Amino acid sequence: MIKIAITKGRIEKQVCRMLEAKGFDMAPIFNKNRELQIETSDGLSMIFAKSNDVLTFLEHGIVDVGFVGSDTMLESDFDDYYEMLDLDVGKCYFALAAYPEYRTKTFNRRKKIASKYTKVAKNYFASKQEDVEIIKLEGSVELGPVVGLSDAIVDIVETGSTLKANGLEVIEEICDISTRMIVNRVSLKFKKDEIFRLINALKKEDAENA
Amino acid sequence: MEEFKYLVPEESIDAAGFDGVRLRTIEQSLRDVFTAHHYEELMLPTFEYLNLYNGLAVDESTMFQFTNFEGKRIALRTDFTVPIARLYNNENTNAVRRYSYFGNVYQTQERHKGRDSESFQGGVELIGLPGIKGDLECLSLIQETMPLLELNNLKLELSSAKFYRRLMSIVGDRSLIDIIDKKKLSEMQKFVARHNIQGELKDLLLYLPHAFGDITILKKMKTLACDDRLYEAVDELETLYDALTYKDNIIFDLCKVPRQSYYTGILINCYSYYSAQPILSGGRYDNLLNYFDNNVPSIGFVYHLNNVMNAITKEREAND
Repeated sequence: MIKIAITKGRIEKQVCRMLEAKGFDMAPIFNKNRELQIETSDGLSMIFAKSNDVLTFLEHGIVDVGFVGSDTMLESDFDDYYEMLDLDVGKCYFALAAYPEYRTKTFNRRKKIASKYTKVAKNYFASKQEDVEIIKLEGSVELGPVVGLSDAIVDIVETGSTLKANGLEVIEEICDISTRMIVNRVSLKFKKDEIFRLINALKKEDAENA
Repeated sequence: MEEFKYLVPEESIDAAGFDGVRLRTIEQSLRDVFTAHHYEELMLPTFEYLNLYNGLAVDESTMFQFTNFEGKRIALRTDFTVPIARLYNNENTNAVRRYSYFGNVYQTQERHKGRDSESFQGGVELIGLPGIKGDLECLSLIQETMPLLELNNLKLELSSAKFYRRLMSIVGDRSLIDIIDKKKLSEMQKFVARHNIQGELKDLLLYLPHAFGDITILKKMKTLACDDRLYEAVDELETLYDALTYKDNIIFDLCKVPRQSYYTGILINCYSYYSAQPILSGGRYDNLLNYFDNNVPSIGFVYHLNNVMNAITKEREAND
């Protein structure tokens, strides 16, 4: 039996579809109502949680395997796990975005940057050796420049349509994001074969067979 | 009621959660074995100059620190190995010494993560005995003491800092560290493609994230080791394995980054099915004494007794 925590919503659907395509019985998941924990006939025990909580469950050894976006992993202070697979789905990227004038404007003060991902924003500007003030917003981060709270934002960009609708544009791409399969360090030692069965089902077809 | 009458600081461990009698019983049974093998128990200071650890890549921000009357920075000890190395060095000798210790170490943890900032350790240092002789003495001592822990589902893992360091010097790109440490299968494929690595080294790197498990892994890694020193590092592990009398729960991991910069040879970890962190860690550190300008080969291991106690509780719950 392997215990798995999956980020609720889109990642849950993507991963379950990938497993179904490899012959796993995913019907109990697709047919679930509001249950938070489900066992499949392939010996997978799955829980569905918010992305940050997937890391917490994994860290405490409650689950063996987690499926989570790399955005959540980058923002978390915890990284004591194996990050075995990049599933190459749920792809988007972190970007610095602002009104076009941002590029040419001279600031005679610290820039103000709004973000839900304060750690990512801080590391990005640290890599540029630039000192900025970071303001945490919990959602609709585009409001930052729109209402004049911040000069720019650091946020996840998928299509860019929200940015465009508000007159903002990507100033610079920071890093790519995708869904990852992570594994508890101790679990892997005790359940190598079971976990590799899952890895082999999920890794890309064209990948080198090591 | 005032807060201090019922709250403890977040840094404190939960005193009520521990079965003190059981902990002390285990401690005493470990002590008896250490003493029977002529390990001399040391009582070491809780306060150390922060600089003692600073040169050894212990993250300063994780230490409990304050300033003393000299205006110098003092830290609560984060381990016993470094203070024991200092003590040995002060003896001005190259003789073989066997030391044991029991006590708390202190290191801050991320908030709200359920990890202890204060942890109880018991371990040994074997200084001055090089190579396989020292390794075997340590491993035998571990195998003699593991059954005293009241835990059933344990694995004893051997890795090689020598293998890791040789591989890093062959590849020469520090971005490989994180790929090895996290066994990033997908990232390793990208790494090999990006650097256009071909031939034997490519085969080795692509296999590396799979390179853990029972003794068959060593045989496999010998066929993949594309360099004499890599081969030698794997061969050392196999020699050790052959020399051990009890082999049932031994596993290996060659995709491993040493937790301390001073590790040079074998790395030892013991895992319980019921603990998310190792219950024992250790390894050979032939260079630590260099830090004190003294060149003496050493090896040691430590039981993380908080993790042991938590695992005992969970294993009992699971079997009830």
